[in-house]
Amino acid sequence: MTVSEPEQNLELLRRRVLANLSNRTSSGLAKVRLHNVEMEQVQIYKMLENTIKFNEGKSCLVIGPRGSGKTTMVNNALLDLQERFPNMFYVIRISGFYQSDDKSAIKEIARQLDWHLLRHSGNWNVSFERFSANETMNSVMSVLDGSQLMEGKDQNGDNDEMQMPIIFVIDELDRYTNDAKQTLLYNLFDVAQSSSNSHAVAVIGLTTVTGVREQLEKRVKSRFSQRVIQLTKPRQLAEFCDNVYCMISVDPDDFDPLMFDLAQKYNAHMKMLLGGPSELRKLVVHNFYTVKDLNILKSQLTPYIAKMDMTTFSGGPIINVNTNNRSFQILQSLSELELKLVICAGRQLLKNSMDQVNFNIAYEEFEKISSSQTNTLNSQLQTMGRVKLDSAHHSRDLMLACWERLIYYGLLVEPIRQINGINSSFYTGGESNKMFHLDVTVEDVARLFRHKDWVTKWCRI
Amino acid sequence: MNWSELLASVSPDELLNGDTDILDGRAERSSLNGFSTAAAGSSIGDRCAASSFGSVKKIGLNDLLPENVSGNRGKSLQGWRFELEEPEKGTPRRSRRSAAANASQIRLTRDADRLELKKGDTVLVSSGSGPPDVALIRDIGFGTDTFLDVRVLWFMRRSEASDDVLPEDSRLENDVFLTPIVEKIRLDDIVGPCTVLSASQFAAVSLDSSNSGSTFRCQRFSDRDSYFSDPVDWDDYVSRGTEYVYERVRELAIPPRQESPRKKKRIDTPTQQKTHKTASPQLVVLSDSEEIDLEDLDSAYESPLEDKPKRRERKRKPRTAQKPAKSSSPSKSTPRSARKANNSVPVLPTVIRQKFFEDDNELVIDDDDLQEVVDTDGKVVKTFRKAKEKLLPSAKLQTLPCRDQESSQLYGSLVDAILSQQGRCIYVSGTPGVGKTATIREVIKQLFVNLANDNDKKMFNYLEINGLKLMSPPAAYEALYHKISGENVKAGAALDLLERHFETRDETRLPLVVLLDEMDQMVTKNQTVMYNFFNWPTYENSKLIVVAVANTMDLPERLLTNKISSRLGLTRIQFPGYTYAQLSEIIKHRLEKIERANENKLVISKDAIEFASRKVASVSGDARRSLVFCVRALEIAEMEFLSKPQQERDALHGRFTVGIVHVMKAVNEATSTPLANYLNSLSFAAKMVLVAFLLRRKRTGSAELPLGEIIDEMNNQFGMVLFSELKRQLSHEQLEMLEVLYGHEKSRLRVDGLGSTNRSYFVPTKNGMAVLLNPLVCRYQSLTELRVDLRVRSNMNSTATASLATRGSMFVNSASPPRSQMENVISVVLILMERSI
Repeated sequence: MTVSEPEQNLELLRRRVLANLSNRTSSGLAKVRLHNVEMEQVQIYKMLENTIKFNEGKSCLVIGPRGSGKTTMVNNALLDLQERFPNMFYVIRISGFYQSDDKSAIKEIARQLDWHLLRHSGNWNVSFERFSANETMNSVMSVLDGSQLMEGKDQNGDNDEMQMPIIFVIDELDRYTNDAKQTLLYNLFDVAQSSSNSHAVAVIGLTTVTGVREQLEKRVKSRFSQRVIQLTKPRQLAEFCDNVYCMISVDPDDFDPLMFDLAQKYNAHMKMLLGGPSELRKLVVHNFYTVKDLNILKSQLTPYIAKMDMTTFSGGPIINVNTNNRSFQILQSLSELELKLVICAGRQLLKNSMDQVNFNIAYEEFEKISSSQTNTLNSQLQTMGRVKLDSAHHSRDLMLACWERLIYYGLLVEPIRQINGINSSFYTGGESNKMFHLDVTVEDVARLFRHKDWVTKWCRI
Repeated sequence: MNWSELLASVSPDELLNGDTDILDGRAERSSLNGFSTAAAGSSIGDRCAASSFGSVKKIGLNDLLPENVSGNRGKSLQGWRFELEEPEKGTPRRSRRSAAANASQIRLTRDADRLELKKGDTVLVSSGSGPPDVALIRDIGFGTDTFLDVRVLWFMRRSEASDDVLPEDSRLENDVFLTPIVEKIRLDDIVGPCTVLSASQFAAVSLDSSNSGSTFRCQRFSDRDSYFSDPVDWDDYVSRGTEYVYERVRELAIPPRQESPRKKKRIDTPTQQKTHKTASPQLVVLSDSEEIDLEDLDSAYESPLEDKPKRRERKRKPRTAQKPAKSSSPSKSTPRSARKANNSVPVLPTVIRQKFFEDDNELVIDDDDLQEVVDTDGKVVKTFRKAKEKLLPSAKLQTLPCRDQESSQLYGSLVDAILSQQGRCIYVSGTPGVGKTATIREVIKQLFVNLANDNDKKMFNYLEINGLKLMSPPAAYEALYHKISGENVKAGAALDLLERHFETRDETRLPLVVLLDEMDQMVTKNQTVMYNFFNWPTYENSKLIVVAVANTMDLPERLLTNKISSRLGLTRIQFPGYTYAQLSEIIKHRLEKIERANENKLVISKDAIEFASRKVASVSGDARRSLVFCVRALEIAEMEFLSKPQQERDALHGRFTVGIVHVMKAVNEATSTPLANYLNSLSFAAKMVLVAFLLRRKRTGSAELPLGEIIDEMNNQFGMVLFSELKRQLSHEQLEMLEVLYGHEKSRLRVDGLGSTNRSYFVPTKNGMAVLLNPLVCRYQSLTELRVDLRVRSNMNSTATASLATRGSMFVNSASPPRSQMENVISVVLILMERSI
C-alpha cells in the first residue's frame, strides 16, 4: 500500500501521532482522547456542573492504576467546563508528590488563590499567602468556609451573590492520608460538604490506592461524599487494542480537508495492523499479558512511529524494553579483576549464606583463591621443570578501586533501611567494612561466561 | 414666610417627635459658638436658631447629631430660601408619615436670581467640567444629614452615549434620556433651569443661541448604559407627576425580561457605579461637599417595597443638618482602605448566581440535555434539584429534630453560665455525624436571640475554634486573643496576654463562649493548650465558657492528665448515634416541605428512607452518611428518569417515585470496595504473581515472603499448570507463552535490579494489603508496576499488624492472617483468573 502525498503532509501526520504518544497528558491544556471512559467523564462533569450552577458541594474519589487516565479524564472534564462556564470557577491543583505535607499544600493553595485573584482583579495588595503557616491557613479557610457561625452575621441571608466556586483537584491523595490528623483532607471535605449558597467547593481526589477509603480517618470519612469513580485497566484483549488504536490513530477532522483522506487511510491501516497478525499486534499482546501498561507501550511505539516510512506505513523497529539483562550487560563489560571480585563476593555470600558482603570479606576470598591457583600452577610447573612463577600480586588499594567501581556500576548496592520514612542506616566504619548487596549470583556469572575457562574455575566451589 | 409661620404649620407632636434632632443640633452648635449662629449667614439659619433655642430646654433632648454635621450646617443652603407649601386644610398632620408626604411640597428659591425650584422641575446641574448635567427633581425633602435633600433623576445626554447604541431618531444634539438613577444633589451645584420637552413640542420651538443650552428633547428612557426604551410621550408623563415618572422609568429603562430582574440588578451595579464615577468624583473634589447618596443609588433599582421603609426611616429624623458628613469621608476612607489592604483577608470575587430554576414556576432551560425535557419533565427535574438541595448536609435548617434533650441540656447550662457571669467547661462527645456542632450552633443562635432581647445588646461573645482547622495547637491562643482584642499576635505573646486578660477584673466584660471543636486534635505532648483552655474558666473574673467537642466519651480520662480532666468538670453531654427511627425522622423532616410543595410529583418512598436509615444506623448512626445515601439515590433516580424514552416520561405525568432500589444502588456503590473490579483487570502476569504469593504463603505459613521464593513459585506453576486456554490464545497471536513471560532469553523467570531477590518481601499491611518491600528503589518501570498491582487486600485487618510501607523500607509484622481467609482469597483469585484468561 502506497500513498502519494506531499512530504510535508506526511510529516504533519507523523507529528500529530507522535504528539499523541508523547505522554504530555497531565498538563491539562488540551484535550487528550481517551477510550472507554465517557461514562465516568460525564459523571465528573455533571458533578462539577452542579457545583458551579447550584453551589452543590461534593467530594469524589477517582481510583485507578497508573496510566489508566485519571488525570487526563478530569482534565478533559475541566476543559469542557471551562468552555461552557468561562471564568466562572477556579481550579486549584495540588499533588501529593509535590506538596508532600499538609502545610506545604495549604501554602500552595494560598499561592494559587493569589494567582487567580491577581489574574482576575489585578490587585497586588492582598494575598492569601502569609508569613506564618497559621495565618495562611486562617486566610484560606476564611474564604472557603461558609459554615462557621459568626457573631452578628446573618446566617439566613439569602443573597444572590456567590463566591467564585472552587474546584480542588488533588493528585496522589493517598499521600495525605499518611498523616494522622489528615488536616488537609478534613478541611477540604468539610468545606465541600458544607458548601452553602455563598461558598461552593468541589473536591476531586485522584489516587492509585484501591483501599484509600479505608485509610481515611473516621471524621474525614464522615465528611466525604462517598462518591467513588473507579477506572480499571481493560479486561479483554479487544478492549485493550481499542485503547491502543485510540492512542495511535488521529482524528481526521483535525486536519484540513486535503489531508482528510490521508488521515483516514492511516487510521484504516493502523486498525488493520492491530487487528491482524503483525509485529505491532504482537507487541500489544505481549504487553497485555505481562504488564498491561499503556505508558510502556507509548514509549515503545514512539520509535516505531518516528521511523515509520510514511509512504507505505511500514513501521520502524520495535524496541524491546527488556529489563532483564542490565546487570548481565554490565558484567560483560567488567575487567578481569572486577569480575574476579564479583565472583569472590558471590562465593562468600553463597558459602556463608550471608545477606551482605563487604570489601574485606571479598578481598580475603580473592587472595585465597588467587594464591591457591598460583600454588596449583606452581606445583604443576614444578613437576614439569624447575620453573617458579611469582604469584601475580595485586595490591589492596587496586582491588579497593575495583570495588568502588563496582559500586558505581550498580552491581553492588547499598541496602536502605528506613523506619517511619527516616533513613536509619548510619554507618561510621571505613569504606572497606561497609556492607553491600550483590546484584548477581555466582550461578549467573558462571552461566554468562561459560566459555571462559578461568571463570568456570573460579566459580566452582 | 418666616419661622413663626413655619412653626405654625407644624403640629406640636411633630415638633416633639421628629424635629427634636434639628433643634438639638442647633442648641449644641449655639452653645459651641456662643450664639454666633449667624455664621452661616443664612436667613433661615438665623431665624431658626434664634427662635428655636427657647424650646430646646423645654423638650429636653439628647444629643444625637455629630458635631461636624451641625458645624457645617447652613453652608449648602446659603443663598437659598425655602418655603413649605400649606397642606390641605383640615388634614391634621399627626404622623411623621404625613409630614414626610408634605415635606415634598417644599419650594426653593434662590436669592440671587429668584430661581424657583419645586418637585418636577428640570434643572441644569454643574458637573464640574463639560456641559452641565440635566436632572429632573424627584422630590425635595428634609434630609437626615443635609437639611434639605434634593433628589433628582438624571438625564443622560446624547453625548454620553456612543453612536452605535443610540436609536436612529434620537441623535440630535439636544436629545436627553431619562434614567432611573436617583441621586441627591447639592443646591450649590444647580446652575439654572432648563426645559425638557416632548418631541412634538420640541419641534415647535426654534433653537437659537439663547436657549439651545437649556432646551432638550426627551423621547426615550435609558438605563444609562446601552439600553434605550421605545419612544415615550414625555408630556404625558410630566402631567402625571414625578412619582409616576419615576415608577415608569424604572420599568421602562430596564431591558426586556429575558433575564430575571434580580440578575439584571447585579449586572447593572458595576456599570452604574462606573457612570457615577465618571460624573461625580470631580464634583467631590471640586466642590468638596457633593452629596452622593450611594444608598439611594443602590435602591434605585430596588423594588418599591424595599424602598419605602428606607424613606420612612429617613423621615424619622427630618430637618436636621444641611451639611453632609461626606466632606470628611474621602480623607477618612482612604486610610481605612489602605489599612484593609494590608491586614484583611482577601475576598474572592463573586459571580452572578445563575438562576437556572426560578422561584416561580417558569423554568429556564439552559442545559443541552435538558432541552428536550420540557414542561412536566422540567418540573420533575426541578423537584429533583430541590429535594437534593434539602438533603445535602449543608442545607440550612430551621430546627434540628431528634436532639431536643441534648440541646435543652446545653441551653440550660449555657444560659446559667452566661447569666451568672461565671466561667464553665462543658464537654460534648459523640461519634462523627451525630449533630454535635450543628446542635451547639443552633443553641448559640437561640441564645443570641433570646438573651439579646433584654436590653437590645448582646449578652455574650462567641468564638469557634476547630482543632483540625489550626495548623498547630498553640494557634488557638492566637485565634482567642484575636477575638478578644482584635489584634494579631504570635502564639507565645498571646498566651501571656490572655493570662493577664483573664486575671484582671473587668466589670464590663461580656462572657465569652468558646466552641472548641475536634478538641482531641489540640492535645499536645505536655497538654498545655488544653490545660490553659480549661484552667481559664476557673478564674474568678474570666467569664470564659468553654464548650469542648470530641469524638470519644472518655477522652478526658484517657488522653488528658488528671489535672486537666478535673478542671473539665462534670458537665458532660453525650450525643448517642442516631437510631434508625431518628434518621428517617431527619430525612422526612427535610423533605416535608418539598413534598407538600410539589404536589407529590416526586416521592421518596417510606421504604426507601427506612432502608437508608437502617443501613446507616446499624453501622454508625452518622446522619451525614444517610443523607449522602439519599442524595445519591436521588441522583440515580434522576438519571433513570432522564434516560427513559419520551413516551414513558409523558406517561408518568411528571410523577416519579424514588424507591428502595435506588437507595440500594446508592448504598452498594458507597460500601462496595473497588477491589474485585481491580483484581479482575490485572494482567495475567500480575495475577500469577499474586497467586504464587498466596500459594507459597499457604505452604510456608509465614506472613512475609522473599520475592525470590515467589518467583520460584511462579516458575513452578508455569511448569506445572497447563494454561491451555492462554496458550491457545497466544498461539493464535503467533506467540509462545514462555517467550511472553520469560522474555527472549528463555531462561527462568528472574527479577533483576532488586538488589537481591531474597531480600524483598511481601508483607500484609495495616489496611489489609500486601506490599512488596524491596530494599532498593525500583529501577524499572515494569517492576514499579508490579509493586503497585500487588497491593491486594486479603481481609486481614484484625490480625496483621505490620505498618505501612514506604518504598525501600522493611518492616516486620507480627501476626499472620487466618488460614481460612487466605484460602478464600486464593480461591477467589483462581476463579477470577479462570474467568478472564
